[in-house]
Amino acid sequence: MSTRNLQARAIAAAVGAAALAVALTACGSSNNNSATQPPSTSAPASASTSTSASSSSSPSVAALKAISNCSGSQNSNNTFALGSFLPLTGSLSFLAPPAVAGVGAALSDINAAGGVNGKPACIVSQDSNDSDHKAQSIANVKKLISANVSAIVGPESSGVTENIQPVTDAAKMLVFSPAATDDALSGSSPLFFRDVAPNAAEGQALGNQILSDVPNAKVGILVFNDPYGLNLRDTLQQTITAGGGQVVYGAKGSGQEFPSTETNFGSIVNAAVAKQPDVIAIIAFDQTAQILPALGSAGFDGSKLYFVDGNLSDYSSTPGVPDLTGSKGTQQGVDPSAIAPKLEAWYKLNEGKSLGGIYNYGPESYDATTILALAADEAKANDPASIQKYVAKVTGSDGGTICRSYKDCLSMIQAGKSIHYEGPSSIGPINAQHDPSSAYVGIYEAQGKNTAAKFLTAIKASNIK
Amino acid sequence: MKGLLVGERSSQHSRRLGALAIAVLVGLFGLGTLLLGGAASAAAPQTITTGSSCVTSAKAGCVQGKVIDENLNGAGGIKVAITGPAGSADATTGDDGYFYFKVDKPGSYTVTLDKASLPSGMSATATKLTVTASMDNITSAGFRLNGVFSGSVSHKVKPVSEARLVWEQFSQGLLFGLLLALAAIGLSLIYGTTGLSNFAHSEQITLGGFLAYVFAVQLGLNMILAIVIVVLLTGASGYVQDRLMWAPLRRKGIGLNQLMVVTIGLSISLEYIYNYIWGGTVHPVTNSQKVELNTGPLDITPTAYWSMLVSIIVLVAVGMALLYTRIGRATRAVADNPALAAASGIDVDRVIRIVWTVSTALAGLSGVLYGLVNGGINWLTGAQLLLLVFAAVILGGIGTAFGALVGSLVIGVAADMSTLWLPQDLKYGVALAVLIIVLLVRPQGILGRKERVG
Repeated sequence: MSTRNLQARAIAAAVGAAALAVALTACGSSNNNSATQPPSTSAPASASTSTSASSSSSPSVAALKAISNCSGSQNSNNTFALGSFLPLTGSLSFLAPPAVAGVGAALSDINAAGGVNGKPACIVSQDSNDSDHKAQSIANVKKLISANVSAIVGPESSGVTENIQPVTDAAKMLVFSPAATDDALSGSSPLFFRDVAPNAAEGQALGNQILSDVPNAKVGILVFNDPYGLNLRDTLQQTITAGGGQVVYGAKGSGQEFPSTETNFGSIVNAAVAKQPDVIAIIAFDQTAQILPALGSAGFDGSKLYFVDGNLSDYSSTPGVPDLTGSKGTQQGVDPSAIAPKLEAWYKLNEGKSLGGIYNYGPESYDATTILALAADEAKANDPASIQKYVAKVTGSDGGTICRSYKDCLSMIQAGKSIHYEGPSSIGPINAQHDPSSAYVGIYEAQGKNTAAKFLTAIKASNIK
Repeated sequence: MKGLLVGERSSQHSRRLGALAIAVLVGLFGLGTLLLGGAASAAAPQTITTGSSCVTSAKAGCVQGKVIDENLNGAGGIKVAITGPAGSADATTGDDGYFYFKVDKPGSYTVTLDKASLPSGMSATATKLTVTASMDNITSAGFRLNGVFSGSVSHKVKPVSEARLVWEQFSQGLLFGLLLALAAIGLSLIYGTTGLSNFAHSEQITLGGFLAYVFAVQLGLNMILAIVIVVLLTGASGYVQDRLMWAPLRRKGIGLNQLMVVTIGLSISLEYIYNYIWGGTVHPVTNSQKVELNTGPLDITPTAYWSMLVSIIVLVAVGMALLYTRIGRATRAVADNPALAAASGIDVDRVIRIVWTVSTALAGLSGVLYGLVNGGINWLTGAQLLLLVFAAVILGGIGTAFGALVGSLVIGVAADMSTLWLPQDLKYGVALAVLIIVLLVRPQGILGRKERVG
């Protein structure tokens, strides 16, 4: 049951990104190892998304083309056949659109640059569903395996990843997740990679932000009993206590975690507020929409709330939410606004819909696809085993010259140069555990009454081991 | 793998070169500022920068924090100094109360608050902090002051005594119980008249919530009007269901066990239909953005008081109707013995159809109220209440309206009050344990009649 509520891991994160079109042009592209970070805090959020388009690399938005599904004869023996394994249905389905757009836009760019190993890439798409539907996830991933795809991009949930791993490992299938953040997945399989920071990195970033805002903070944590929540809570608590603060509610061992199926939060919020915390961190998914009104009723100040990637969202249409101005939250990944116009354009063109300002894991999906394609180019083969050997290498684990688009990287590979691909997710080279060696955790702050949180800054989590 | 290792080393090498270059640059810059600033000691080039933000990198760590008052508000103009391996520097807090030091050497730093710069009437218990900074990392080092800045707004929530918290949790339990009761009564009536355990009853609750979302939120209707429409529509859904499905199935003489499996299948199908239509997120059932404060003797919101009142009125009305109206008596007759009831001229099918209609309407109403009180509804809300509703019905005594009420209150209060002493996770476990204990003592349930168990 617990996984049922993977619910919205990100519902999240609606990352308020929508409004964020902050003109952070440098973002996705400016860090080599000495580099300073993405953009600073003060850039005002400009309303238009167009400003940030300038940074996206090579093929212009207009050049985005539809991508084709693999025909019966196309498979990893002759083509770069990408398996897309995203949550098209189920409780995580709201996470699919930006990822679908990320994978699609990347394949469009790849094909516009001449394809992989000289041939246009194709896609086979299957529904990963959620971790509550293990049988369906497994049946669908088996379809990808029997279609003989080159590699799989997905799934978006840690739970589904854990469910399918025995199957994909047995079939020697390569899996690259753009969104599975569970710490336990680090080094879980030689065939599993990801380009998103594990939860531990986020817990640290959040803890430091809380302590910066409120020295020696007394923190209440409303956390649900789910691997994602507990993981994040544990690192948050470590950071808080090590930094001179204390956790007064929801601490490890207190038994104050709520079940993930909870829908009745009055008594939970009463108990947390009774401990007189300075601030409250909410570590949950979609339950947050029900927790916030309860916090408002209990009289807790909305500006003293902290959110995580699972619930950093726009609550402007949620009834009874206290004024959240000044509340903050963390979200893995860079500010997605740089690549947002491209994702929007692709989705509009191919799915006829808008992404509605939600870009979660879009940059990571774009990069996962591009990295796999580059690895295939480097391997001069399209099969999973050959690609696997070069995944870390094309992200610069052996050094190499930085390149920022598939087109540029491909011409360097063709010229025999060693490459270090750095795409919109701005991750560091993939490490021995198959995690990114560094990745960004963004800090967001709500700017107005109940509006989506605005991107504030990104903290680099480095030395991810 | 070997190649990889070598590569790593070479990348480290190039990284080191890059780092060196930067260090030189930073050094020069530091020297520049030193010369400009005319600082005395040339021995340690100053490599701490201050500003209105701090960004970490491989060669920079941030020591930052906020100077706050008892209300947790910051204020500008307070002086803070830092000393450590990278030298020393002074900073003044910005209007938001933050100060930032960017240091280029890891190690132990001492941050000192300049007491003289505090506004009058303010004091600090601790004015010195020793922290460890590292590269590519943020270290927090703020100060909490005694007193409040002028114009600082209080964020404090008034303290809650232990006894008050017990009372608050009791009233939360009452509220939860009453909402459960509204859902439970329909389940109890259907079971009582047809013998069917309707597992799809939970989806009627969810349906009520989603319809309220459609009418009150999407179409923006007045809440009371929306509730009336929802009750009519969910009632109609029960009528149609019985007409098209349950009555024909009954007529074909399908056994209760098979029918129960049908309800389970229906429940799951409906859940996924809701998921398909409305997605996986929580949907509000009202447009009102107002924050409702807990108030009054029970320390709950005005909406919660209204919901409790509606629930009590409806439950009493149904209970009375069963006891004193013609159709109520007919319902009880069907519940006791359908064959005898039919023989004595009662139109059993009609009674059952009315029971279905009323039951689903009540479930729909409970869905709206549950969504109103608990901040919304999602595709699984009903499913998560289902077992508690069953427990309440069995606990109170199957087939009695007042039994459902009593059973629900016991479950609600036991669940919410258990969190005072037991882990949150056991909340509903406790409620179900109460059920088992009560059944051991009183197998017919609290208000159930002895002769007709189950």
